[in-house]
Amino acid sequence: MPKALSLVRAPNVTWIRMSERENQISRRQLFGQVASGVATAALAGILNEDAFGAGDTIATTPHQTPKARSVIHLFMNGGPSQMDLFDPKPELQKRHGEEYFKEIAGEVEFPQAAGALMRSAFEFAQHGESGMWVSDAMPHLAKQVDRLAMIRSMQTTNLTHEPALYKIQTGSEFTGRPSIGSWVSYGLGTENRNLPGYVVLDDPLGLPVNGIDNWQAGYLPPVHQGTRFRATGAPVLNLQRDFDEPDSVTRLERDLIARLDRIHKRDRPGRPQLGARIASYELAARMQLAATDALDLTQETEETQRRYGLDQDVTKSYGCRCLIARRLVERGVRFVQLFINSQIWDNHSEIGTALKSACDRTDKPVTALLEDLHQRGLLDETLVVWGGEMGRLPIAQLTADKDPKKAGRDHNRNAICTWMAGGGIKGGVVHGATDELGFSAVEDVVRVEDWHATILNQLGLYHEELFVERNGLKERLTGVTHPRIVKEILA
Amino acid sequence: MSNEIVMENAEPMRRVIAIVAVCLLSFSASSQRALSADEPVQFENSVAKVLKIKCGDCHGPEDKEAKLDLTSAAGIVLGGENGKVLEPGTPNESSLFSRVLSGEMPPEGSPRLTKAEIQTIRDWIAGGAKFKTPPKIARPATQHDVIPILLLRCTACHGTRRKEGGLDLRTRESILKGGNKGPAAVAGKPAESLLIKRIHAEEMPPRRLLVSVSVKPMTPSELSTLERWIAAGLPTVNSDRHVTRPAPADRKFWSFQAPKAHLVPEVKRLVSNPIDAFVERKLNKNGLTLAAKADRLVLLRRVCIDLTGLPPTIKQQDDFLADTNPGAWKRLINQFLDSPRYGERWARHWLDAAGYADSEGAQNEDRVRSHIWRYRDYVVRAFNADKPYDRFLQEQIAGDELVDYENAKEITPEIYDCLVATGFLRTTPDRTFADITNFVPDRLEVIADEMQVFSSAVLGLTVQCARCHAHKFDPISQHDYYGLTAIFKDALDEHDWLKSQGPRTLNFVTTKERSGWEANEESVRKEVEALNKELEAKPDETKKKELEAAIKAAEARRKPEPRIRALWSRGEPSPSFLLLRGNYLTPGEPISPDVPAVLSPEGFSFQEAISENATGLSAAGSVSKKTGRRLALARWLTRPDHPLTARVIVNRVWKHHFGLGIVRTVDNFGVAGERPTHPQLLDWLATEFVKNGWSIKWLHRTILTSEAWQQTSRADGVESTNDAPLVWHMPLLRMDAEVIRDSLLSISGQLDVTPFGPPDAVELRGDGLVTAKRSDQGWRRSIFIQQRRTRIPTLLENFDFPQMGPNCLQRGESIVAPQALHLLNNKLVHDLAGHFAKRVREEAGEDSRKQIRHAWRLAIGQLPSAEEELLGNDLLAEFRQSWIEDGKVPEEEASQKALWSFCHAVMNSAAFLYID
Repeated sequence: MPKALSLVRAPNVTWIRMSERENQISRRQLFGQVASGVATAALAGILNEDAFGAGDTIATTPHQTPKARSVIHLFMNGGPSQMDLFDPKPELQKRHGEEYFKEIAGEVEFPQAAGALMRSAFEFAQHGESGMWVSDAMPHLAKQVDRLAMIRSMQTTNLTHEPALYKIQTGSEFTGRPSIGSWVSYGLGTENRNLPGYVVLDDPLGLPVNGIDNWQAGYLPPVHQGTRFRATGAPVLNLQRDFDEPDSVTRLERDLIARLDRIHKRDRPGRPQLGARIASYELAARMQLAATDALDLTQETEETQRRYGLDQDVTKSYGCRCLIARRLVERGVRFVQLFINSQIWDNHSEIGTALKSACDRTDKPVTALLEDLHQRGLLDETLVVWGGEMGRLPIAQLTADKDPKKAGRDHNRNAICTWMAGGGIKGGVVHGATDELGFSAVEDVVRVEDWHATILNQLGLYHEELFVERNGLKERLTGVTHPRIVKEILA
Repeated sequence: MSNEIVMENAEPMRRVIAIVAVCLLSFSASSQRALSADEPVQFENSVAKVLKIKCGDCHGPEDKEAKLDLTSAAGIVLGGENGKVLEPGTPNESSLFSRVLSGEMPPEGSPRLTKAEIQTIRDWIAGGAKFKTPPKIARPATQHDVIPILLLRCTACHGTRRKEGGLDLRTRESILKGGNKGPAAVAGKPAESLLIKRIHAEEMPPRRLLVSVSVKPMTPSELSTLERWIAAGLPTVNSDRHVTRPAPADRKFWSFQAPKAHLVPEVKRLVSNPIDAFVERKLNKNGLTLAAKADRLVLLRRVCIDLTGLPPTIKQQDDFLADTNPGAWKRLINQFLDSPRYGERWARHWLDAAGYADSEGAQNEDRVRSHIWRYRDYVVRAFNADKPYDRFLQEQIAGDELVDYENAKEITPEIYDCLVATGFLRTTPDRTFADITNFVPDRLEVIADEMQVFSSAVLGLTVQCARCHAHKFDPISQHDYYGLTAIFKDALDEHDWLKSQGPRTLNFVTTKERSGWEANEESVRKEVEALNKELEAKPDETKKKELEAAIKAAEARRKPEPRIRALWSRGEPSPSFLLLRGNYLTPGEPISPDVPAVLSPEGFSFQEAISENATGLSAAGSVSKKTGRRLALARWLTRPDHPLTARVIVNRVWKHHFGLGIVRTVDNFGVAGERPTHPQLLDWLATEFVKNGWSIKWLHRTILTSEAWQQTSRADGVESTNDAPLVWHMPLLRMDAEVIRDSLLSISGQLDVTPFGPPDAVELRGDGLVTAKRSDQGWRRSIFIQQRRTRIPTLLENFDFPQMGPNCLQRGESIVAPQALHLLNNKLVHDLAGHFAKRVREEAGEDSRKQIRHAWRLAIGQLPSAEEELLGNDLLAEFRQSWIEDGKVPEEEASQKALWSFCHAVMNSAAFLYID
C-alpha cells in the first residue's frame, strides 16, 4: 500500500511541498488502513482532530493544481428530457408518428406502452454569443449559455432509476459504495473545520429515489457521508440541545466533561485518540455556531432573495437551496448536492406540462446561482454541475388510453444532456452529439466514469490515485475502468 | 461463444439492420468517405486501413495484445480473450466501436482515431459488418453458443418452471421435441423452424409480457447465431473443461498450505498458557516482555464487555472481588460464557461478516425483509450453545441438504435450524422483488455479492476480482470463480430465480410452532364462526354492535403464518458458463461446479465429492432433486486440513479480543493481504481449535486465560503504540456502537433483555433522526432492533455501525463531532441520564459523595479516584446552584437536576466509552 501511495503524481502535477506531501500520504495511507481493516484506534484518533475529517490543520493537499475549490451539483434526479431542453432534433420533428420501437426494443423500460416517434412540444432557439440551442422551457438559463459547457453525449449503463442513480452517485449500479461527494470529502477534507466537507440539501417535500443511500459513505469513514442540512429548524441532527435546561448548566456540564476527560487522558499517555476525542467535543460546540450562521438567509439582501425567487411560491424552495449552496461554498464546503423531491424530471406522461413545471421550479434559481457566483468572483473556483441520471427516448410513452395528449417519454441510458460551468470549465461549448433522432450519443461519448474523473480533475484529484484498499482491492470512484477526462470542455 | 459473422441467408434480419443502417448512414453524411454512394461498405474498402494503422501495433498478427488481431478479417470476427469485439448491426454492443468511441482505445499516449475514422467503423458495423471476402472460420455454432441465448430470452416461459405451449427450450432434445405445435426447430432449415419464425414475426418473446418476466428481446446477432446453429443441423460438442491447475509455486504460499501443529516453544520462564509462550518468544526476540497484569476490576469490565457487550453490575463487581479462591478468573469467564447475553454480543460479529440486514436495500423502497430475523436468532442460539464451528458452517451453506425436511414426519428444532441457517446466503442487498429490477444482470449482482460474503467471511479471500479477470495477486482464475458460483446454482440460478420478496420462504417451522399457530387460527375461526351465527339470528342493535366488536377483536388475534427465509436446492440448475469480462452477454466456455484449485489437496476431485454427497439426501421415492453440490462444498470447507477455514475464524476471534488480528487483514489471507505476525501461534490455535471440536468457547477460554490478554492497557512512557502487533500490552478500545447503546440502557435500568423474535420497529423523525421504539419494559438490545438499511438508528450509525455493502469484516473507529453532538444534545440520551440519576439516588441515597461513587461503579466499573470524586462533588454543588438561580424548579428538585447533569456527563466521558 505505501508503495502505491507514494506515486502521488499525475500529468499536470504541480509538485507540492515535500512536507505537505508526506503529511497527505500518511493521512491517506492511514485512512486506507481504516477502511481496509488495519486500523488501530490510535491511528484513527490522530487523524480526526477536527469535526469533519480533515486531519491536518489545513485541508488536505490535492494531487495536482486544482481549478475548482468546490462543487455544487444541481442533481436533476429523474432524467430530464434532452431533446426537449438542450438537443434539438429537426429530424424527429419531421418523422413524428413513425413507428420506431423495433429498432430500440431492448432499450425501452416499458415496451407495452411504447408509441411512435414523438416530436418535441418546445421551441428551440440559439442564444448568446456561442449560439447554443436551448428550448423555450428554460428562458432564464438561455441567457447564461456562454458560461455553460453542454455535454450532449453522456451515457449510463442502466435504464432503471435505482441502478442509474447509484451509478451516477457512486460509480456502481449497486448500493454500498461511497458517493462522489464522499470521495471528494475523503480526498480533500474541508476548508472550514467547523462545517462538513459534503453537504446535502434535500427537498423538504421528500427524499429522492434511493433516499439517504444517495449520499452514503460506503466503506469510507462515516464522517465523509453527506450531511443533510435543513433550511428550517436545527440544520444538522442533534446540533442543538433537544431538551430544556439553563444555559449555565449546559456550560458547567461541558466543563465537567472536559475536565474528566483530561484527567482520564493524563493517566493514559501514548493514547492519541483521547486527545482527538476531547478536540471533537470542542469542535462540536464551534459547529453549532457555524452551521446556524451558514443557513441564516436573513443576512442576504432583499434583492438577492428576489433574484433567487424566494418571493415566489414556485421557486422559493429550490431558490432557498441554491442560495444556501452559495453560502456553503463561500464558507469552504467542498461538495454541495441539491436534490429535488421524488422525480419531477421523470416525465413518463404529459411531458409538455410536466417538464415545463419542473423547469419553472428550477430555471430561475439555477440561473441566479450562476450569476451570483460570478458576481462574487466565486464562479471561477466553484464547479457547477447540472444533470440527471438518465435521458429520455425519442418515442412516445403512452398511457393506457393511448391518448397522444397525455404522452410522455420513457427512460434512455444512451443519451443524456448535462452541463458544467465555472471551476475551470470552458463556456459556450457543446460537446458530443447524438444521432439525428436523439436516441443515442454517437460522437465523443462521455461515460459516467469520464464524467466523474472530470469533476475530480477540476478539484485537483486524479481518479487513479484516489482510492482505499479493501478486501485486497483498490477501490476507486471510477472502479477498474479507464476513464477519459473530458479535456474538450476544460478552459 | 459465437464466432461467426452474420450469414447471408439471414434475410429478414437484414432488413431490420438496413433500416438502422439507413438512419445512421444518413447522419454520417458529413464524415469523409472515399466511397461512392452505391459502392457497398465492406471491411476491405472501409475500416481495414484504419485498424491496421491505429490498432495494428498492439493488436496485430505478431503482438496479439489480449489475443486480439485487428488487422485481419478472421481476427476481427474471432475476437480476443475477452470475447467478441464485433456485433454486426449494433455498433454500441461492439467493443471494437464502443471502446474507441469512449476514448479508452487506443490507450493514452497512442495516436487517436479521428472523428471520421470512428465514424467509418460505426458505419461499417451498422451496415452489417460486411466483408468482400468473408473470413472462413472453422468452428460452427454449437449448443454452447445457443443455450445461453435461449436461457436469457426464452426459458423464463419455456424452461424449468413454465412450459408455455408445452415447450421447453433448454436442450437440443427438447427443442427438437417441441411443444403443442410441433418441433421448435427443423434441422438444417431455420426458415421453416417455428422457433425462428415466431421470433421474426415479433411474436416471441411477446412484447406485453417482457417486463413481467424480466426479459429483454433477442438481439439481431443472437437471432442469427440461433439461425446458423439450426442451419448447421443443431450440432453439439462435448467440451472437457480445461482446468488450469496452479503451479506448485502458487501452492507454496503460506495460507494455501494446511496449518501445521507446531510445538509450543520453550521460553525463559514457566508459562501455563501456550499462547503466552508464542507471544513471549517474539517479545523476547525484540527485547520486550509481557506487561503487568491489569487490575482485577479493570479485567472484570474488560471481559464483561468483551463477552457480553454490557458493563459489569455492582453485584458482579462485589462477587468477583470476594472470590479470592484459585480459579476465580476461569469461573468468571465461564459465568459470562454461560450467560444468554454472550450469544447476543458475539452473534453480532458474525452478522457483520454475513452482511445481515432486515431489509432488501438497493431499491428505493428498501422493503422490509420479513422472516430473516429467524436467521439472526439462529446465530445467537448457535453461539450460546457453542455449536461446533464446522457444523455451524455446514448448516449455513447446505442446511437444506443436511436434513430431509420434505419427508420428515416432524419438523424438529434440528431440521428447523438447518433451514433457517441457510439465511446466511440470503443476506445481500437485493432489488429483484420488482420486475423492473429483476433482470439477469440484477440477479448476477446478487449472486456476486453472496460470493463476496461467502469468500470474505469464510475463506478470508477476495474472489470477486476473478468475476471479470484472473485475480491479479492470488492464483484464483475465472474458472475458479464461475466454478464456485456453479456450486450454488441449484439455489442461486440467474435463469431460475426466486424474487427477493415472497417466494424465498419455506413454511417448515418446527411442528411445535406450527401447531401452536394453527391452533390459534382454529380457535379464532371457531370463535368468529360462532359469533357470526349469533349475528345471523338478527339481534338488536346493541347486541349487534357487541358482536361485531367481538368479531373484530377475535380477528385481531390472528397471526401471520410463520415462515423461514431460506435458500434451498431447487434441482435442475441451469448450465454454467464462464462470463468473459464478467459480462452476461458474452458467455464463454461451459463450467462445472468446482472449488478453487489452489485450495484443494493434490488429487482431490470435487466432482467425486459431489457424487458422494448427492446420494441419500432424501427418502427413497422422494421427488426432491437435491444436487449435493453445496453439501460437498461445506464438507470440503470443514476438512481438518483445510488451509483457510480454521485459520480465518480463529484470527477473527483473536481480533475481536485484542483489537488486531494475527493476520491484520482479517478479510484477506491472500498474497495482497498481510502476513501473520505470529504464524506459528496462528497455526497452533487453528489446529488445536479443530482438535477441540471446533469449539468457539474453547477458543475464548484459551485466549482469555492467557497472560497476554490480561495485560494492562497502560502504555506509560511510550509515545507510539504502532508496535501493538507484538502484543506487549492491551490496546485501549472504544465501545462498539451496540455496546454504547446497550450500556447506556443498562446503567439507566432501561434495558429490556427479552431476546429473539421479530425485530423492534424504528421511528424516523422528520429531520431524519432514527430511534428504536420502546417496549413496556424499556428498550431491547441493539441486535434485536430492526436493521433496515436506510433506517439505521442514528446513535448506532454515528458510532460506526457498518453499511452492509455487502458485508463488513472490520468496522471503522472514528472520532468525530456528530458523536459528541449526539451524546450531548440528543433527547433520548438525556432522558436515559435522568433514569440513571433516579436509579443512583434510589440505590445510593441522598449523600452526594455516595451518589458519585455509585454512578461511577455502575458506568465505569470501579470507584472514582479521589480527584474525580472531588471534582464531581464540586460540580454537583455548582449544578445545583445554577438550577436554583434559574428559578424554574423548586429548590428540592435542584439537587435531583444536578445529579441528572452529573450522570449525563458520566455518559459523555471517555472513561465510560473506552475500555482499559
